[in-house]
Amino acid sequence: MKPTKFLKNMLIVCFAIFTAITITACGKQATGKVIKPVIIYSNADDEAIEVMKKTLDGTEMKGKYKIQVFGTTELGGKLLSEKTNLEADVITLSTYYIDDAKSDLTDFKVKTNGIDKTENFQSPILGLEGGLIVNTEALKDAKLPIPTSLKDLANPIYKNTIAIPNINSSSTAWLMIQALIDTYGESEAKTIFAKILDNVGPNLEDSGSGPIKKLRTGEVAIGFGLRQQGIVDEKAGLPIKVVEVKEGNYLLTESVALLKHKTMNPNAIKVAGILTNDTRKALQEYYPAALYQGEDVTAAKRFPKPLTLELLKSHQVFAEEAKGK
Amino acid sequence: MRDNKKIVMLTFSLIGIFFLVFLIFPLLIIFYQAFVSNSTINLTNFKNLISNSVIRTSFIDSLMISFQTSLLATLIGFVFAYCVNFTTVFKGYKRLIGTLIILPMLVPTIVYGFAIIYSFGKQGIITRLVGFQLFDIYSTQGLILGFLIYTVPIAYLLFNNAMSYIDHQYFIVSDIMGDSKLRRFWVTIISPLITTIAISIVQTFFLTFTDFGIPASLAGSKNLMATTLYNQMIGSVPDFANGSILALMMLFPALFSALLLFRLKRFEIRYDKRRTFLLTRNRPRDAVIFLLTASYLLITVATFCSFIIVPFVTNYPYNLTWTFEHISSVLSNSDLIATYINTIEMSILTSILGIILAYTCALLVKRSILNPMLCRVIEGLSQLTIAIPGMVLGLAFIFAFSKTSLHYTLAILVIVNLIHFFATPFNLANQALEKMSDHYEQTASLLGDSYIRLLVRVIIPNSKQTLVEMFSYLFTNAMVTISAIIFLVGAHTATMTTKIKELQHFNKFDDIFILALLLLLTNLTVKYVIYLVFTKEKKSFKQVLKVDKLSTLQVKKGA
Repeated sequence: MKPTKFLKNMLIVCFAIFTAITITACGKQATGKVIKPVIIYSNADDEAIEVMKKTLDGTEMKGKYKIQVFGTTELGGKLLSEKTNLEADVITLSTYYIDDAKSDLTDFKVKTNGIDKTENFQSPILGLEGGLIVNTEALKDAKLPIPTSLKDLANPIYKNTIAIPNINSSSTAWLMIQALIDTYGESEAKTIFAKILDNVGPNLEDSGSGPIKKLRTGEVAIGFGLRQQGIVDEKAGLPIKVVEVKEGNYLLTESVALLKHKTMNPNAIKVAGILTNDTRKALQEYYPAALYQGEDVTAAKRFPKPLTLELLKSHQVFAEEAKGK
Repeated sequence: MRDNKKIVMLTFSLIGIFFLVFLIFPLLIIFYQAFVSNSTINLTNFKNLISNSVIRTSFIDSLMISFQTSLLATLIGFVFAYCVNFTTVFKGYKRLIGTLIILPMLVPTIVYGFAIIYSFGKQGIITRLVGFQLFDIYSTQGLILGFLIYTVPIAYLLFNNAMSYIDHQYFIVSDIMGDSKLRRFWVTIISPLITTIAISIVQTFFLTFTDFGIPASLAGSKNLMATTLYNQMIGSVPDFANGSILALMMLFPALFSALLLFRLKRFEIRYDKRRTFLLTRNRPRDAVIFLLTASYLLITVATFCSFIIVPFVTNYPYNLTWTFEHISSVLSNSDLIATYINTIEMSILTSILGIILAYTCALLVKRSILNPMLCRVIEGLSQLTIAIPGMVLGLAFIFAFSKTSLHYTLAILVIVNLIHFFATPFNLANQALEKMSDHYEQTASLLGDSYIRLLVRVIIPNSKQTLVEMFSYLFTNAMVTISAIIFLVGAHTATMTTKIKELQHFNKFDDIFILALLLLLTNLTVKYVIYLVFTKEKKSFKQVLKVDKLSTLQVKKGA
């Protein structure tokens, strides 16, 4: 190839690439010029995200929002560290994180009649129940009995067959630790938890949905996760079963909140309103726990102490100490 | 321009400002965050952190695992290169090695871990085939396998390159001298390669120590530095001071190994004249080497078989009916498509701007009247960019720019990539420009051509091969990088790799594998297009695939 010809080819390629970029960039600009899409950061699971999308798409907000999903602690950490610089306009996140970031949030029209106290900067939409879930086939293969309580998991026969989430990164793990502490008192709970950790070994999962996934693939026989995910799998015909444990199932809530930005996106408050008011019914199909008066009450237990970041930190220390035992 | 002091200095200043703002300033902020609290310098943060047993063990584990990996990878890489260069196993097999071993380089490391889970886990494809689990994937063994898949190609390319310079005349001499076989092996192969062995060990150590993808996907009960740093920064209760100190703990071993590498490079021997002759046939030797290499290739292929099986069945492992449902759901997911386009955009911008930046720097250093001291500044900056792990750079950017309008833009991703991957294209351009005749500029000015004309008509066309190599390197690396950008992406700028991290949170492995396949196909297509451009020059596609080969002469930068 002659130099000039080569150069010509290169120029054509470069030109083509630049046009492509400009076109896509302009395309983006065209949609963004009017009002920027509302950015929603959420830690919710797939099912809940689907409900949110469907609900928003049924309103005038269709195509005017963008959802970005994170793990609970990732989003919580981002919120705490970036404060009002956070890219998101609206967040849905575990209530204890939102409580902590109160000063970075702004009031909006929340749903009132809540079972827990009502606050103006956040409105709960999800009630997550913890649950013990088993893979019946895997248990049968390993010739192990179905556990009936969380305490049973401390039995050495279950060595390397249990997966639980890690409290350092998942709030689902908190549900389990809280249930143990509440039932057995802190010192006995620590002994039990230490033995459970022994049985868990490498299956300490970063994500709250880690155990259920390992249950599905048969990687473990027993897992602690969200009760509802187990029920969905059970209905789908997988060899998965939810066990009603003696300690009872505890509840965590997740709320909608509106970030305080210098220039507020005018659609953001609408999106927050829609998420607060119009998603509850569909969400309750997956997360049945009652959050508002008039909703069917389920057996989920509520924590005796209010959930705060301080309590979470102290329970993280609890877990670390159990690990050292 | 070459003789125009003003323009040379102007260009240098622009580049200097770029590096000052986007490399030096963010790094200084990390030091500030780590050691200054309440506007006084103190080491309490540091002491607290060092006494934390979790962090100490993760640091030691990281060092140990990296060290073990580096020894193993070097050994395996050596055997492969030996097989290709000095044995008489059939040609087709050698060609197969050359292609197969490089394929993992075209996908992000984070998916290696998932591939291992789905192949060697309790319900993995291989486990089901053989009937029992071969090893515990969530232990050191699993991590090391992941790191090996990542680093063996690099070690292989290093050795393959070095072995192609070994003079075969040595064998004849050694034969005449009546050396024993073992001694001949030592004298003719090992001793000329001592430096390469050292380079390979340090290089693979560096890559393993700074990698984020494999620990993120496989570290079950073991915490490595990369995951500890990530959790400290984006964990339940983030701590910036601790994050910065961890970043420094990651930076120092990396700096040290990079410095060691630069030292070692000087001892590399090059033979000018190389004489080859027919290799002697030695059946037992070839058989052993064949078995060794074939079994490793089998493990690699077995690891990646989950890639092409899991996404195409309904619900692995319970419902194994063939389906295209997952593929079509990914391809109709506008979110994922937007991510894909965004990634391509970022990679193309990174490649084009990266070429301009690196080529300009190389022009300044090799073909201008720039003061030698200032040349050394540019070279020093290039070496600094090699030594900084991607995660540390990403963290530094968060501290430095999160309050500016650059935050959450495509621009910041491109910039961080430009810094992260600067060194290799810069060195490539340097080599190419160095080889060109020194008299071009003089001739051009005598003939009355302007400098731009010379650049466009002579210098650039003469380095087109290098330019293409630079493009290929930058594009592939930008496509698979995760460590630097994981802290910097926003809702509009998510890339394929960060999306994979997000999907991991929901354990959507079908989607992860499909995205990884898409990345692999894109990278292969780009390499194929480059091949088409060069068909007239009668290069084989395999040579184009190995376009990275030259670049491995330099220090390889982790993704």
